[in-house]
Order: sequence, then structure tokens, then C-alpha cells
Amino acid sequence: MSTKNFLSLPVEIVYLIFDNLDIHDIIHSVRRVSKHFYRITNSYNRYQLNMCSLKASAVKLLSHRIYPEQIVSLIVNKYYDLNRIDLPLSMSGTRGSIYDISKFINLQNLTLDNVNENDMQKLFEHISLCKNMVKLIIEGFTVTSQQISCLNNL
Amino acid sequence: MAGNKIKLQSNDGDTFDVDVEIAKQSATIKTMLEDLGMSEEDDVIPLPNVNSAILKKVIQWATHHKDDPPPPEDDENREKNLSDISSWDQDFLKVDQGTLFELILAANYLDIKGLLDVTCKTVANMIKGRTPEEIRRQFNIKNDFTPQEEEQIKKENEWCEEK
Repeated sequence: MSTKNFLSLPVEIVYLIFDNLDIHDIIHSVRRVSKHFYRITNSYNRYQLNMCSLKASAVKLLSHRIYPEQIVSLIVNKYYDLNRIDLPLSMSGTRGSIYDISKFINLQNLTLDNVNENDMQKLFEHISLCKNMVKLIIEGFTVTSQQISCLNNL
Repeated sequence: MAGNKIKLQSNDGDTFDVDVEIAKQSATIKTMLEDLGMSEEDDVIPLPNVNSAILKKVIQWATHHKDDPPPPEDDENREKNLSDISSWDQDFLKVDQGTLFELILAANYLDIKGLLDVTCKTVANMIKGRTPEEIRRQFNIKNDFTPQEEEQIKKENEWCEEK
């Protein structure tokens, strides 16, 4: 009978397991299992956040648990103000910005689904600061030549 | 060359004859053979971190996957798809938890990316959609939060769920 168990895995391997889980499972469940896992969820820095799949209250919760620097993958749709990644407009009257896009310095993947032109422009200015960016997906938006030259500077 | 064999020795002393090409799915062994110039014919490669039972499983996995294309380099782009475990791998990983975690540690030590991926995905599947209490039961983990700490965490979540 083997004596190995989940707690005997080194933290790098727990991170590899987390890479296969969504942010909700990590923050709402794994984090609350024990102190060991609570600490690992604090140090893990490859979170993948899909704003389209989360309710505003869930995004709010997450913003108190993890820092933008810990997020490597972000999916945003038109309901969010990209300048200050925000609650859906219907809620923003009650609360201000949650995540400031300029703080997402470790982004590697960014997917934009039907966001508006102003937001796109601000975003392009910012992503040149993300040194690790490897993938950008833009859906439902026409990119102007000015924006392409902005992207060329990446 | 095709057909060449090497000997792999587990930490409990058993020796296994393995095709070089199969053994080279382990980046650790590949490096030993290619960069460190170990000869393939007479040397035995000792694997001090792996016991016989696990080494046997690892060789079984590597033999089945010997013709797989090399895994893509770019880790960051890989999609989170938990259902893409082949049915052969699913059957192969129907083992007790201790064996599963030993396989993960062996795959990590031997640097076999495909095996590490599929074993980590299997553990992730055992977590997905579960409550903290279900995860504790699943992996026999003790809840070591004090009642006060647990109350605190619970409060944090309630506060969030209000709106």
C-alpha cells in the first residue's frame, strides 16, 4: 500500500493540477479544504479568468481573493468596461472598478468578445506593457490600421 | 537504432529491459543517454526515486504511447479540456490513489510530459465541481482550520453572495 497522498505532492505539481481547474473550483472549494491548500491558492499565479462565465458577485468575490498579477489568461466581453475591468453596467452604479486592466501585468492570453472601440484602444495601449503576452483573440470587432501599428510595437 | 535496449533499475533493485526509443519519452533518461554520453549496451540506469511497481506502470504507459507525436512546447496555450483523456489512459489510471500520486511523482522525476499531463488532469477531475468537504473526503485530508478561521472564511463568502 502506497503512503503517497495529495499532501505529499510538491507545490509545483499542485500548480499543474490547478492549471486544469477553473478559478471557481480553486477559490471556492480547494482554498477552503485546509490551511495547506489555502496557502497554495494564494501563491498560485496562473489563474485563468473568464469574465463571461461569471456573475458579477463572483467577480467581486475573486477580486478580494486574488491579485491581477496572478492572472495569466483573461476573457472579457462587451459587458465589461475594459478601461477598468468592471462590473456589468447594470451594477456599476453601486460599485466602482474591481480590476484595473493596467495591473494585469502577467497576462499571456487575452480574449475580447465584442468590446467597444474606446475600450479596445485603451487596451491596446496597455497590452504593450504585458511582456509575456502570447495570444490575443478578438471577436466581433474590426481592427483599424492605427490599432494594427499599435500592435506591431508589441 | 531500432531494437536497442537499455536497462532501467528501480529503487528496490529490479531491472527492466526497455527499448531505447520507448525509454526516451522520459526527458530525464534521454538527457542521460544523449548529453551525458551513457552507453546504451551495458550500463544500467538507476532510478532511485521509482519503485518496481510504479516503474512497470510507467513502462507500460510509455510502450502504449511510443508512437505519439511529441507534445507541443507552448504550455501556456493549452486548453483546459478535462474530457480529452483517451479511454486507454482512463483505464490505465483506474488505480488506487496512492498509485496515482506515485505515478505523478515518477512522471515528474522522469520528465514524461504526456504522463504528467494526464495524471494531473485525472486528479483535477476528482476535484472539479466538489465542495470542500467532498474534496477532504475524496483525498482523506484533515480540516485544520480553527472554528474561528472557518467562520471567517464562511463570512467572506456570504458577504460576497449578498449582492
